[in-house]
Amino acid sequence: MAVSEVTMRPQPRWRRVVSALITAYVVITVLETITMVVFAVGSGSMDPSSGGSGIVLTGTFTYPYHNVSKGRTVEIPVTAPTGFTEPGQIAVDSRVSGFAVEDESDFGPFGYAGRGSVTLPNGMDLDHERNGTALLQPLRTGSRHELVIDSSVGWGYRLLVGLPSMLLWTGVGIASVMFAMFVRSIFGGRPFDPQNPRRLLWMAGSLAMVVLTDSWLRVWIVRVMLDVLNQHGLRIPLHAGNPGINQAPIFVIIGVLCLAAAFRAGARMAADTEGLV
Amino acid sequence: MTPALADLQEAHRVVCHLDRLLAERDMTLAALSAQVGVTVVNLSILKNNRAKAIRFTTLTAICDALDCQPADLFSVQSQPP
Repeated sequence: MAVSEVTMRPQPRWRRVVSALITAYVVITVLETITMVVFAVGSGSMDPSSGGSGIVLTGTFTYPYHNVSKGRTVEIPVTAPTGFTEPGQIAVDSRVSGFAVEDESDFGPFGYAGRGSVTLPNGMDLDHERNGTALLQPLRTGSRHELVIDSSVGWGYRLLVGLPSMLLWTGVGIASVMFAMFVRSIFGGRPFDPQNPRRLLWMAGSLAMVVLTDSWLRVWIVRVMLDVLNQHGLRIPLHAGNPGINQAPIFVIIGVLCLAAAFRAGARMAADTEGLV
Repeated sequence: MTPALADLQEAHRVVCHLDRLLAERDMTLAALSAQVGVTVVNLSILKNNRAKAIRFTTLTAICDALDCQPADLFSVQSQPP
């Protein structure tokens, strides 16, 4: 039976339904990808926990504020946006968690306990020792390394911080559309469609971009932003973590590449039997 | 059509005379299909010179049904100058 004869039969009803569902899925995926890529740029100032694409830089600074009369040291976990009002200053969102503060005056000139903006004094060296106590301690193991940008930051920083999410969603969109077209060719009775090897290669490339973006690019951008912060006289002893790549997706990508090779061989064999009676 | 198929189509000058043989025997394509066990679609591909290859089993069945030889069914056109 010639290969061409398979496609000349009227398709069963269920195949038409599957084809329509796949078409709808492709349309929705394309719209979602466009929306999320645009959102990635605009939401760079939103905390990821709130659904934004910003990268939140967190760490534990031991703020050695000494209330002379009380003589206590208060530890403040902070998040550090890249927005800053003046050179040498950085707006610190002091969040108090895990410990109690008896008196808001413990924070002295550094604002109030709880969520809110606290501006550090101009020129303050966060690594400077004072009263024999280091202002900062090394970041605790296991802390998240993310960076969120202030809403007043320019488009350059926005694009940079939103870049990982943009690339990630673009990769997800491309992989999803190619996969949908591949599945439609299978259900349409054309498993060895000549376009399928190319679609599988695009899927593998998109998945690779998603993996690299999520595990490596994000860390690299945080390092860049830390350099930006440090250039303004602030020495933040935080590190961006080590870029590691999850090996499980690597095996998936290799599997998809093997599938692409297999389908390329199948398409070649199908072409050889085209027109055979 | 893949480049390989296009090259193949240009490479052969085999002509099928199935339509003439059917007309001489007053037989329809459907009747031949029923005798030979090959679909009308494939026989139509063969008759219209769109086939790229033919199985020996198919060739044997067609020759038995039409009581002819392969040389009656196929010929090779002379090469154009």
